[in-house]
Amino acid sequence: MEIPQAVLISAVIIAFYASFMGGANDFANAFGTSVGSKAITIRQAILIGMIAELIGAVLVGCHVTDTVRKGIVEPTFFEHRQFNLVLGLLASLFGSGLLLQFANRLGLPVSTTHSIVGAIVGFGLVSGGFHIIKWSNILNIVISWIVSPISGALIAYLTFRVIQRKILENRAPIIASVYVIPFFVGLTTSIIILSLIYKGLKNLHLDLPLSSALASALVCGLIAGAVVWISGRSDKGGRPYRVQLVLVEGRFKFLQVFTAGYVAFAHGANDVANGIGPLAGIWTIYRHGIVGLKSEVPIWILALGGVGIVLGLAVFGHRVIETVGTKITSITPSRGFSAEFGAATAVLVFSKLGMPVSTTHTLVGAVIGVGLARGIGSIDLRVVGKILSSWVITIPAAAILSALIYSVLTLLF
Amino acid sequence: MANILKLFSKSPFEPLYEHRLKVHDCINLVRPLFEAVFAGDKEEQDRISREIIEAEKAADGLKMEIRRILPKGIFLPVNREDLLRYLKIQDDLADTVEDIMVLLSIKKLKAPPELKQRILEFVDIAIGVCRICDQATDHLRTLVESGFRGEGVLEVLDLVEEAELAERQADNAGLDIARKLFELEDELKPSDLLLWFRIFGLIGNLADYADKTGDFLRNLLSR
Repeated sequence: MEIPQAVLISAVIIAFYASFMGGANDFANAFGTSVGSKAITIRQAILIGMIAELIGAVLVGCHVTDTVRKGIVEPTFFEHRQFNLVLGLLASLFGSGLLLQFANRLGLPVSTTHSIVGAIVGFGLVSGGFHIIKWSNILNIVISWIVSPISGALIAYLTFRVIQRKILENRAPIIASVYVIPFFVGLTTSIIILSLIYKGLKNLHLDLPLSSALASALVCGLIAGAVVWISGRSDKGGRPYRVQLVLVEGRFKFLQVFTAGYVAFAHGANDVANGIGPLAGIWTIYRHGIVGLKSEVPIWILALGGVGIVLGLAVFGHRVIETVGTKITSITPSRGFSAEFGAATAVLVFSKLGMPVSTTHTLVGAVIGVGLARGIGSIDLRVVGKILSSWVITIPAAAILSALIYSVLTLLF
Repeated sequence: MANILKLFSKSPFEPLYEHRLKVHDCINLVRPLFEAVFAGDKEEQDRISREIIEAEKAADGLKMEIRRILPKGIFLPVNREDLLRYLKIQDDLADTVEDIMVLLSIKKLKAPPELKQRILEFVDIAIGVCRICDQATDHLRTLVESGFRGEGVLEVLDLVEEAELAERQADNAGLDIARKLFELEDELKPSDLLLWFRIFGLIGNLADYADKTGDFLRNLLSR
């Protein structure tokens, strides 16, 4: 059956809108710790966020997008009725968007990632039944939802312990920081570069073999670290310990500008799929049929999602984060850095593995990791309970919504 | 708005420091209070008493504020129960100063001349213990920044040990002065004897409480 152009156009519009909402929603979480620790201003956060989200979405977003478009339901089941798959993906997109809109109104912390996965499962169950869902993939995704906050916590814990060991416990913290801070800049740079050029976009020739990718990433990291090291030498070692601790926090502010971008990059790489994953599916079926799903995700679709996220944070980010920035919080730049580094690294690794994980949950895990290293004055664990319970509800709610919309759509066409 | 920054609640360590400053204000008034009593300067005694009441009230307010921001479910770098007990003991210091003030104002209290100097010395020793613990508490602020590790921890532990020694000294001084008091029992009115004995007990409590805050600091750090 021929796919009406109207379906494609509405898919583009809803996908763009979903990305837009995602950008507006997640921005406060991705940048909350940076703005909260007064490392950057809202304006800076928006600027860094726009650039980093777009790069992450376009250059690394393909892996998770691929999972969302064909890794949850079995596409071969729709070989002879591909229009149903198109309607299903549209229904998922619509259902998850509605749920987010609704949750937003009620002020519930709902994960975009969980809602899109739940929505696709929901439509799959009504359209083809239990056996067309790729349960082994679903199991992997669910495991990644549990593992991602834990790995975020672990990396953040270790990062903060290194900072404690090497800098905060040192008699002259400011002198110690001269070596440690460039190390982290170099490490972050290497990881980002590696994620871009190893198994990256084939159509941009960003898929170097591991050895040369690793070598180039290391060289870039060394250069970045050296630049920071040269610009960061200090003669303030003679100041009293307490004064030096304050000065060191100032240096972590600089580092946090860097990791704020890192979080945005990782968020773009993972969360762009939430909006455009289904669209990528619909478009390839429209152009090439079900077989087309084997091909690469087109860059223009990734860019569409990236621009959607960027516009969302540019338009609504300001309002969302303003309420945040004025609140007195017990997070300082060294802690914010540890949490962001841990979360972004975990999210980026899962993005490369094609696992749609929640940036917010991973960041929550990372914050607790820093807390376990006795780094944070006070954490409200009741908030964690709320976030956890809301994602348990999100999945069935999204599934039911998309199943309903799918049924209505099949009646209409 | 569902927001990750809600995770970070208000840190109790700054208000805890402010609370200790208010308690310190109370303790600083103890010696001037005794001096006013010995000089028979009723007006000065009343003025100091009012100041003590005010500082104690302010400390109480801060205590409530800290308890309000530490409901169950708040995760701290130290044990929450330990911190609340620590707060309670620190607050008891201010209450004890107020109790001393009240006992001194019940009647025109006469101090035997040979005891006056000894009382002031006893007061100084007890306050000395409080001062040592104050220093240790001040270190808490730095410890929050370093994540409760490193140099600061050892410094606090040293101070706590120092406070223990000073507390033993205060115990001895309390025993000495009580003996001295009862040597003079025939010259004193029974009511004066009773009041002075109780006041000495409270001064001794100051040193005890200060020493206990040291104990809790050690607990806080040894997690």
